[in-house]
Amino acid sequence: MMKLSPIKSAIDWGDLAPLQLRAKVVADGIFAGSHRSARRGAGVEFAGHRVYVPGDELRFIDVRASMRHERIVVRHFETETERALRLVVDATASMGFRGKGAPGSKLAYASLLAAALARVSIASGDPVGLDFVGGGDRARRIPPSARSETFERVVAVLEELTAEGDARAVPGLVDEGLGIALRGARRGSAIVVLSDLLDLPDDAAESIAALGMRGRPLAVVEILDPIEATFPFDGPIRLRALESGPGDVTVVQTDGPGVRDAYLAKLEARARHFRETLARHGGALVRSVTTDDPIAVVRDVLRAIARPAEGQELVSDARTSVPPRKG
Amino acid sequence: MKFLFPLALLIAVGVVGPIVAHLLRRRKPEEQPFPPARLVPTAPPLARRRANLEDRPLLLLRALAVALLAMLAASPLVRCSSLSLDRRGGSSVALVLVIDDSMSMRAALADDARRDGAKSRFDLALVAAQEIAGSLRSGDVTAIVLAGSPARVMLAPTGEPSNVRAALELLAREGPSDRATDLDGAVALAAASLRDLPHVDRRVVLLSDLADGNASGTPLAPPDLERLELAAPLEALTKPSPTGNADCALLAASPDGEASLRARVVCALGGTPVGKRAIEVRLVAADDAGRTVVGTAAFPQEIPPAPATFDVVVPLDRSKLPGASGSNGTLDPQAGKPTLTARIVGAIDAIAADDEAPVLGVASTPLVGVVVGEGGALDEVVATGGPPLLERALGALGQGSPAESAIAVRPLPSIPDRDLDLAPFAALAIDDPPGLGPESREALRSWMEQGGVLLLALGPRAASPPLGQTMGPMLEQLPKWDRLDLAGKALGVDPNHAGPLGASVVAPTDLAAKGRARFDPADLAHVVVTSAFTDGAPLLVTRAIGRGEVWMTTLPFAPDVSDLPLRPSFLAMLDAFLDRAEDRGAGERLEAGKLWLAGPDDQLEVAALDLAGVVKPGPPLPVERSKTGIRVAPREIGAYLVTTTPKGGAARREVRAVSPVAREVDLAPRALVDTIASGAKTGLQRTTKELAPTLAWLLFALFGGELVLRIVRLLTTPKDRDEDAPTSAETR
Repeated sequence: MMKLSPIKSAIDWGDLAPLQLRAKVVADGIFAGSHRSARRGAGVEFAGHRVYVPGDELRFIDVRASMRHERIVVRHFETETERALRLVVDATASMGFRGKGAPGSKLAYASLLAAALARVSIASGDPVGLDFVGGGDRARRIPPSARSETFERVVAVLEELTAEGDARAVPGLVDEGLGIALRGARRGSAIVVLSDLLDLPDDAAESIAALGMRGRPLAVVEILDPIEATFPFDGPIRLRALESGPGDVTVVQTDGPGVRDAYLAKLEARARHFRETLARHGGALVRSVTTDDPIAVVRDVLRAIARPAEGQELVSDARTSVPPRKG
Repeated sequence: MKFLFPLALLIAVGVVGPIVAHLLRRRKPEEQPFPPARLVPTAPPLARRRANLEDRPLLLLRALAVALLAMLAASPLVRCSSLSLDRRGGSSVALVLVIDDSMSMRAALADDARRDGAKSRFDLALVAAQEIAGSLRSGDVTAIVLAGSPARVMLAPTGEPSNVRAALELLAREGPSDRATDLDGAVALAAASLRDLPHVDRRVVLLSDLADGNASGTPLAPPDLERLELAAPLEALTKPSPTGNADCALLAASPDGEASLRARVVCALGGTPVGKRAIEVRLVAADDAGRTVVGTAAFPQEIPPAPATFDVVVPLDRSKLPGASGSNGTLDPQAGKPTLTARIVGAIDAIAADDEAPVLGVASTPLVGVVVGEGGALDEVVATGGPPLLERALGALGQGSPAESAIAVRPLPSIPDRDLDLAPFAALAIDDPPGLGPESREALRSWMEQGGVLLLALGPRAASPPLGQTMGPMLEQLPKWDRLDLAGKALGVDPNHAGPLGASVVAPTDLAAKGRARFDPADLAHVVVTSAFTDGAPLLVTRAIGRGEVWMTTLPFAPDVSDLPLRPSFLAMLDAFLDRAEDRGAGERLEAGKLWLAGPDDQLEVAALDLAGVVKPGPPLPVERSKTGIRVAPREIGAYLVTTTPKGGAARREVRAVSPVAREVDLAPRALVDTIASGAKTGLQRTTKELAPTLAWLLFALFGGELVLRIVRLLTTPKDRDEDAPTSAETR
């Protein structure tokens, strides 16, 4: 068997590798499930009328309709501009965690989802860009591009990725990654953030929600390890955080069964906080565990960025349809 | 308990290891990476205490395992109570196991002497014998001698241990008998078994309670045999039973007139009070349903501490007796009606088996008739100034020991010539008769064929009878009387051919015989010479006639003819004669261990009866055949149905009883001379057993226990938690 290079082994892929094949499989699953048209027509497609508001371009005022309705209305067209997809992958240290029984690390799962989304988007003719939070020097961002080789570039970068960086200890690490995506995304570009949402600064929810401004569809995918989602510890344990800022408690000595409910309640409260914050900016939260079926998760993400609903939380069906993998 | 490597016990200090590890684990649990650690609250103390409780069984198991490991390393040796041969220089051993199977071995063991499931003295003796047999090696020779009277060789010397084990298993199945104890005879037999063996190490192991009824007699001494060691290793056998050593036995019970019953009892109370002991007479039916008490009589309150025999007369309530058998109610299996049985009640004896006896027809005192030479009796009376020596000797034997069953001696003026006159007698002694007339010959023949035993002294008168008188049916030809002129030369009993006279013979002893009878060669072919003179001539011969037999001496019992009646061997011969008379079944009762005999051409079958007169299931008693006759030796007391079929005659069925031997109730042990090793000083050692294998198995079981504990915990842990329970986590 060919020995993997150190770069190839950067991510704990577990059962998910090779990424390219898996991403294609996941993307094919998306196509088969949605039967969605891959491309839009080149001409303008009328979508209806609406009342004029200041700021609308005057050339879209429909005079006949205004006279008929006795108020100024403008024509509303479906945009014909390309819907670029900006992928933001959290590659901080906590994303490298892989508990026993998980198919791979959280970063590996995020990479799989990102590659599959890129594949779907490029297949639709939409450009795909890739940004990172953390990840060190190997986290090379990829500007949006709809070329066919972009998928290979995305996969290549993701395969070399390592989980590095402490978002709590390094101020501005999150804002740096998100800022690039925020500035580079055009109006109408969809932004998908893939993160465990752990060990992020306290104001991370606001920073991420800001990506959804200016009408950009935003989907945040929460990726947790099964151990993080269920807290199955039994007996006395000592737990060490992988990222910690000044004043943070890095090691917690506790008793598994005794604090399980309290932990899960805090986890739920944190998710609710993110969901509500995102909803205020038109974003959606998709919750997943690394044992979930990636096809279902990607489908949920596409649904979220296509027609985000206010305050909607999309939880992948895979949690109930696909049993958790055993290590 | 000893240890081969005591220092290894220091390993036990390692017991603190699991405890320390447990405590350390409590203080600092395993640290695991967990990104959302900030969301996890610290532990409440309650949960930690619960964890401690869950781990406690595991901690105990591991501490025990460490302690066992230390014991295992120290190689403990324990000293067991089982016996084994202690070999000197590794040489092979010639061994005789003398196992006492007498009635006294039925007594229960003292509480502190019980082991390996042994409850009675006999059980313990067998356990010890099996332990010793287990230590036999190749080259050892073993014999088994039973000390129940008469002492007998059960297993001749053999080098095959499996034969020894088989013999012991057979003995265990048979159990103890109700015989008396013959320690001297058993030890002598054991010595004789070892005499010709070439082994340097020759041992006799005496597994007996030493209760042979001779506690105050001479101490038991080892036989005079070179390089022989006699050991009595089981001191536990001589300890008193939990209920004490007091014991009473019912020797006989028979009707005494129309409305009473006479029970003969022997007691050895050893100073304990008589208490409420009484004789209870019950009516027993064949279906075991109608057990009705028809009479009770208390023991006399004054009973000597030494073994004492006395009669208890029990008045019977005639209204409770059935009409048909009301007259005597004796055991009769052919009648099929309820019969009487007597038993001792009111106290717990050391031996319960000898407390009950069936009621038989008549009193069982053997009656011995004495006819002193019809023609010469007057001469002897004049010479001795009293009864003839023969009569006096028999009388002395019958009354010499109060514990023994008495005999009645009746002098007869002449030889009876009718069956009716001879019937009451068990034995008849005739001194130098001048021949027998036709009527007397026929009467004697019939009497002997039914079991009578005749002692006939042949003298000068027997050699020259009147015309028409002969010595038939004992002899075909008249004996000759040879006058002896020894000119000062001694003529005594051959010690190597002494027979019944042998016990007291000190050879050469001059019998000072002035003459002796000589048998016709034709008659010599029909007799068995049991004792002989030093010159080889027969002195005492026997001949079986029917169920009885005749003993003939070639010397008369008159002191003016020889010194035979003045010698101790004369008494020994008469004692043996009376025993034989009893064996021949002249009386209804027989002591356990004695024999029922019949002629060589007769058939003899003996079956045990229960108290209701019903034959017990199982085969009849084994019959031993020899050239001189057939014999049956009952080993347990009780009632028996004896069927005798003379050759060419009709079968005769009689109910006989086997009684306990009176001296066997005395459970006081006989003393041993100092040269007999006893207890811990014997040539046997207590086995040292290594405990290491047992400890290894225990250790293995502990490991198994830990495995089971872990599996149980695994099964009882909730499944959803168990599947995801991390033991470690990986991060990058």
